[in-house]
Amino acid sequence: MNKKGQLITFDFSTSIILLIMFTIIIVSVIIFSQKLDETKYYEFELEYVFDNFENNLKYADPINNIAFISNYRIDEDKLKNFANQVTDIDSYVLGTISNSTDSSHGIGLDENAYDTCLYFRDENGFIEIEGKKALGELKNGDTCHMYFDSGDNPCENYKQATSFIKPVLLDKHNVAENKIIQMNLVVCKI
Amino acid sequence: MKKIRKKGYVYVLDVIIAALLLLVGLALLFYGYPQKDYTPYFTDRLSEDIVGVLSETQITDLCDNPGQNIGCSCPNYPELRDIVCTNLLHDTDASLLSLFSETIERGYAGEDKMKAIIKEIFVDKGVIDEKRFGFSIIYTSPSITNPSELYNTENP
Repeated sequence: MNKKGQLITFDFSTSIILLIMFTIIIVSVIIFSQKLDETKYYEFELEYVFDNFENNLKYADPINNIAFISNYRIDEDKLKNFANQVTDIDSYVLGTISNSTDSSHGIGLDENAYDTCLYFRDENGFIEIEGKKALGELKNGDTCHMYFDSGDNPCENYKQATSFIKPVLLDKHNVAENKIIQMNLVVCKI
Repeated sequence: MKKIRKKGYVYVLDVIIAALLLLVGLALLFYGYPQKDYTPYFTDRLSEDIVGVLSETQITDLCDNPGQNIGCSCPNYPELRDIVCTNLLHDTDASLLSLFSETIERGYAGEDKMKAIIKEIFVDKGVIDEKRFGFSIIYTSPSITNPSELYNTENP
């Protein structure tokens, strides 16, 4: 009688443990799935990265002659200047730029929380700028060019990646070479 | 005696199964779900940008001597050449958007030609990957009663 009672108690407690375990599993699955959903959330301000980029370039020191984009037009000479003078483009894309007289407003995002890559494509693939497939630098010190050159995703070690596309005219000051191309910005969230 | 032993096996098996389930539950709790390696494309402003680039690109950016039958060429855009290199064209100092408008209003080219030009500029040149993003361009004006669909990815 006593043994039977012990067996029933054991059976009951096992059932309780199993019930608790399944409850934990279900709750944890719900929590994990919500965490995954969070990665689909984008910063509202990110939609202004192209505008911010264009605006910031206007505030760059005019001596450097790097304001390469204006009204859907890319000036190739100025783009080359930009590629040669600016390695890390995060502040231009997300932050604020100031010269000695004035400063831009930015879009309210912390440039230190993101890394960005800029590249251009046409029907033949990447359009190289001064020998680089992409401009920009990542937190580990690698360049965006290294990743695109090896076919890797520059944002693979980041929390989130978002890509922005804009059609622009590549102005080479020669009708035979001018064409409308695809401008790309990849933003990696640290 | 034998009956008791058999009962023991059943309970031991029960405990093993319960323990296994517990371990599975704990493993699930501490297991980090691998994130899918994908990059979403932000295309909210793509339609605005398509119209924007057409309105900011001049005919003379892509074509030499527009509005003339001889000596006119659009080196990278042969379809565009067909409506630019004709002396029918009145406004040669205009944007591509304005060119489209004049061509439609004056009836220089049909819908198929306009479709071919848009496809040449945006799809054939790799500006917009139609496998990823579909788009359509619709033309309206006071002289047209029904909006005219110049291009639609879904109606190639």
